[in-house]
Amino acid sequence: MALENENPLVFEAAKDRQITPEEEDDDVVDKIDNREVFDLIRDINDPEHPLSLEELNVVTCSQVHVDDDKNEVSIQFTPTIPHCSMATLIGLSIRVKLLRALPARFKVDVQIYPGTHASEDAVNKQLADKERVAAALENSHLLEVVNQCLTSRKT
Amino acid sequence: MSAPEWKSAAQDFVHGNQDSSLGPIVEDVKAGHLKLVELVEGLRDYLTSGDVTVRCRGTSLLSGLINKLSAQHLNTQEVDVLVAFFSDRLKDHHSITPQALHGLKALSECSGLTDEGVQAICNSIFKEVTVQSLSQADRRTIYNILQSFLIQKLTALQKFGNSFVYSYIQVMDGEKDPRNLLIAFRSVVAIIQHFQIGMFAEELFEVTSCYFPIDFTPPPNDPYGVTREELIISLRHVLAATPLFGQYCFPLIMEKAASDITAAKIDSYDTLAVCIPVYGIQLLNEYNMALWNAIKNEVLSASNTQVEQATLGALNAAVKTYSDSNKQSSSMDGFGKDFLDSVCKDCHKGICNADLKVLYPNSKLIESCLATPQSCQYMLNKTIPVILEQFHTNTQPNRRRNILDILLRLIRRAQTFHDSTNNPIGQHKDPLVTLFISILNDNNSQLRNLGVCGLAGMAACEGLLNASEVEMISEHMLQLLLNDHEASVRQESTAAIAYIASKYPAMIQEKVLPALNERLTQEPMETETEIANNLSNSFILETMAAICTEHSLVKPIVQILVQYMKRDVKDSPSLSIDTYKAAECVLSVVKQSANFTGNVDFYTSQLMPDLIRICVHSAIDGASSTNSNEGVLTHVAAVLRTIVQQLSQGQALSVLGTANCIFLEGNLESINITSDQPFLPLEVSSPEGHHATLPLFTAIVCSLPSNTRIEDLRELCEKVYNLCKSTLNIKICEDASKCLAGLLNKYLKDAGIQELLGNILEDLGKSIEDADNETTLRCHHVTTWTWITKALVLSAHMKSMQFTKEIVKWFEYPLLGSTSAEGFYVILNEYDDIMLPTMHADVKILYRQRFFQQTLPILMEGFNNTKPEFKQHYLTGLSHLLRFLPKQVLKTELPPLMPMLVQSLCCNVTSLQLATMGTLYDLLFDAPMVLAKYAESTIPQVQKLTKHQPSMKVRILALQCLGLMTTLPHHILFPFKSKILHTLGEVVDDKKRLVRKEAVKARTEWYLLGAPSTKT
Repeated sequence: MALENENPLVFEAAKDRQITPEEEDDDVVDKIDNREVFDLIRDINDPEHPLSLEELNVVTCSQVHVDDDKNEVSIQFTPTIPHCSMATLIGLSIRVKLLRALPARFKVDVQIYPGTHASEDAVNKQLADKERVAAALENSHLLEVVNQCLTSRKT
Repeated sequence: MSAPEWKSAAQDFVHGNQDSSLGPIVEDVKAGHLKLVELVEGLRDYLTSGDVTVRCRGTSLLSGLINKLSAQHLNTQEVDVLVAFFSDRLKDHHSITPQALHGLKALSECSGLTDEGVQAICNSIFKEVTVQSLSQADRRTIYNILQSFLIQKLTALQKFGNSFVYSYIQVMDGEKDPRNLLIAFRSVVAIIQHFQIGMFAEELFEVTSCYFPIDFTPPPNDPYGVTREELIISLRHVLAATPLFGQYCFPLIMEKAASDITAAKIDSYDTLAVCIPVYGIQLLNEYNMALWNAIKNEVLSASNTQVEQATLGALNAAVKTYSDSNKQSSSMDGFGKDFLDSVCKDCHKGICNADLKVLYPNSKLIESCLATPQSCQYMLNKTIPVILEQFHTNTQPNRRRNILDILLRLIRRAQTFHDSTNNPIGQHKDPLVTLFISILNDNNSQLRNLGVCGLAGMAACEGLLNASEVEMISEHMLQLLLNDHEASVRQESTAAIAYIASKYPAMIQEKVLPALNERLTQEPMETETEIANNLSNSFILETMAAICTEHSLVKPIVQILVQYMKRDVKDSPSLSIDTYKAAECVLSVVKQSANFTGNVDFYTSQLMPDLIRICVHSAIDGASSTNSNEGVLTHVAAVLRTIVQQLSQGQALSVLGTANCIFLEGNLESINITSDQPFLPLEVSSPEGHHATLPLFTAIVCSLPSNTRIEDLRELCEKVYNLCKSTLNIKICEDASKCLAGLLNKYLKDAGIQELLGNILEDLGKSIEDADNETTLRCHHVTTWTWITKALVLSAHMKSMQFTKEIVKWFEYPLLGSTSAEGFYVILNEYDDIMLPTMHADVKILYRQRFFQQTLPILMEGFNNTKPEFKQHYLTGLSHLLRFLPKQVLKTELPPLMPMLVQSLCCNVTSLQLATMGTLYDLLFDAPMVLAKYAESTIPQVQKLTKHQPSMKVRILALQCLGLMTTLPHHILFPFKSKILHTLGEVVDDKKRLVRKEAVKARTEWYLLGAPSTKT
């Protein structure tokens, strides 16, 4: 398969989150925050390159918004190039990852960052449609590709 | 055996096909009862029989017999006769040939074989045998015969001259078996070395090179174990054995290197790398451009790292060959220059390209050309100006970073070729230094880092920079270290200074240390930049410890650190966090230079008294024991231990004298303290602050070299024991118990100590059992008891089991049970402050295994017979036993204990659950199959613990175990999958972030379980 974007710019990964004393205290309640959800999706592998979404700047911490009390998560991602045919797949991977990693109480919203993709609306519509996402995951070939994106990279 | 008997045995062998009948005949011949002549006479009928089968069996008997005899058994005459016989048999019916070859093989190893014999054997093999028509085993016999001649009878073979070469070519022509080829290849190398192959070079090349590149996959379960690599290597030796092959070989390999098959490419370039130096430059000149173009294309297309490695290796070999050929002149004149010029021409274009996929391969190509000092010099002279120009014309930080990256790689590579007189980058020193220094002030922190790396790299080239230049560089580093607001840059500069310090200690001591010290003594300026930089004193202290990379720096640096600690003490009795940091740094410096004995005098006469005084001073002033006070004390004790354990007997005695003076007699004059109240930390009646300094005393007396005599040892031990027994402070009780245990362990052979041990056993035991005593006190006594037991267990003392049994007995005392069970941890754990072998303690090897073997039955029995409420203590003890057992032993011991482990998981005791899951976790790594059997009972229990509310540690460990369980066989896990996913779905909403993190990991693993292939 020919690569669409052969030579992407590589960005540096953010440092690991520092563990605070409060987090080690049994009695304090840690709220789910932007950074925590970002940590969930930043290691997702890109379908094309042996790089993570974070390294390709597809997802950034500033484009993750979490409201723990209202049970809302909204994420905007930026495809590497405006015609990237992988945008739907990336969006689907993010959705599936959060489906598995977030408590069921959250309503998750995954969208393309406005103005960064040619067929932005179509992709957003696909990603927002729960039934289409569910149907996509019935497709074993697609699920395999998604799982590959979600498998932790063993170095 | 009498004559008729061996005859009947021979009869059996020939006509009855009884191979076993050979045995008695061999015995007879070996023993000398039967002469060979006699035997041959007797076999005449068989050997001359008209029946082919009978002749074959007769020959077989004779060859079998000779094979069983030792190489010295036959004399020259006998060998000659037999050689003639077997050679003759080669002309016989084809079914007899294998037997004859078998016999010749045995004869070829006989010591009695003459040169004529050798020639006769060879002649008959070459003339009478069509090797290609034989079976694999028989062909191998021939190769073996010829190989052993090539090794042992070379002069005989050389009489054949060229014709031997020709004959060998005919023998090995068309060979297909890898086992035979291995022997043949080795023989060909020997032939090339010892024969004039001139006129047959092409034939010999044809008959061997037809196997290149080797394409062979050994069959599964191959009993012969011939590997593809073996074949490749031995064929490579053949091809590289003579320059005569060059003209045929070069085009062949170049053709194969252009193949699409990765393995063929790798093999081709690897072979080239070996062959080029042999074939020499004349041939290389003919093919150099073709070679360069092939290599360039290969590296730039970057298909496979292994291919790339092989290709670069070939390039390196080519450049090496060029520069070795004109060793006399130090330049790269001649054809090598043209070659390198074309490399430069092509690669410099690549370096000017912003695309990383072009930049780095080109840089690698240039690097590979730095193969010898001359070529390195030549390439760098051409390349460095281009790189510098690229740097100056491009201003983008990213691009500059990549260019510098390449430059650093070249400098690093060049370091291998420098010598004191001539350094390949010497000519470019000034522009490089200027360049690196100029980017030290760049806005981009990564560029600053590269600048630091570059300067450090230049300083690493011996003889490149002069003293004043190094000094200027360190000055720059120092500025960055003190002022840069990026932590990574400060770290990099520290590393650079540390490196420079190892080469130029005097300069660092003179210039850098005073500057750092000055910064320490300044009043902290609470300016915003400094706070933002986190440039606290502790950072400076750490830096000092880090740059102590040379022995001569130890003393000045330690002095500065101690001076700093002292200043703090003057201000207030409670020690600050910075003093704690300083103590930590002293420790790391002393530990690093522990093996260097030159500083011992300084340590014992200045450092130790100074440190003790700081601690004792704050103790006497009645400072409340803050965390940092305790921390300083711990570090100081560690410093004392590190120093004392290195001392010789004499030095140790004087240190011990000082210690006794301070801690036993309360005479503080030696450390310059005048105090109105007595300082007697070992007396029961002293204040607790004084008791707290006990670890210092322990550090000294328990680290003494073995056999150091301590005066009044028994009184000392009794004093410490009394302190153990009376104190209500658990920390002091532990300190004193450690001190006592350390002393006991060292001096167990002493008669007074033996007696004291008996007394303690009785006295302390009684006190523990006495229910009228206060519970805390009894628990403390158990702690003391445990430490004494540890001292005995370590030295495998005979009383150790007696002490251990008492501990197990207390498992069932309601108030003492848990303390006693935790005692097992104390006994088996290794503490870095007491009773280590480095402190000259008596530690027998495998004491943990011995303790396990002795204690396990007691625990098992107790567990089975005790009431339910005490079972948990036995399980706790068991979990401690298992935790310290080496993995190998654990694997065999664990299966019968699994039911107990599962029970432990159900006990509602956090420490027990943690310890058990720790064992499970290790087990899942090392022997998952042991656990697989118990999955049904373990998984639900672990699953339940993922929601264990009281402790997040339990939840985290349970989740980790659960995640790792996905490595168990799929059919065992599948029934649990949906249930676990459901549970984990709730745990990902845990209130603790750390728990959620592990839950997500585990849940992702379980989701992937059995999902459409996730293997990459």
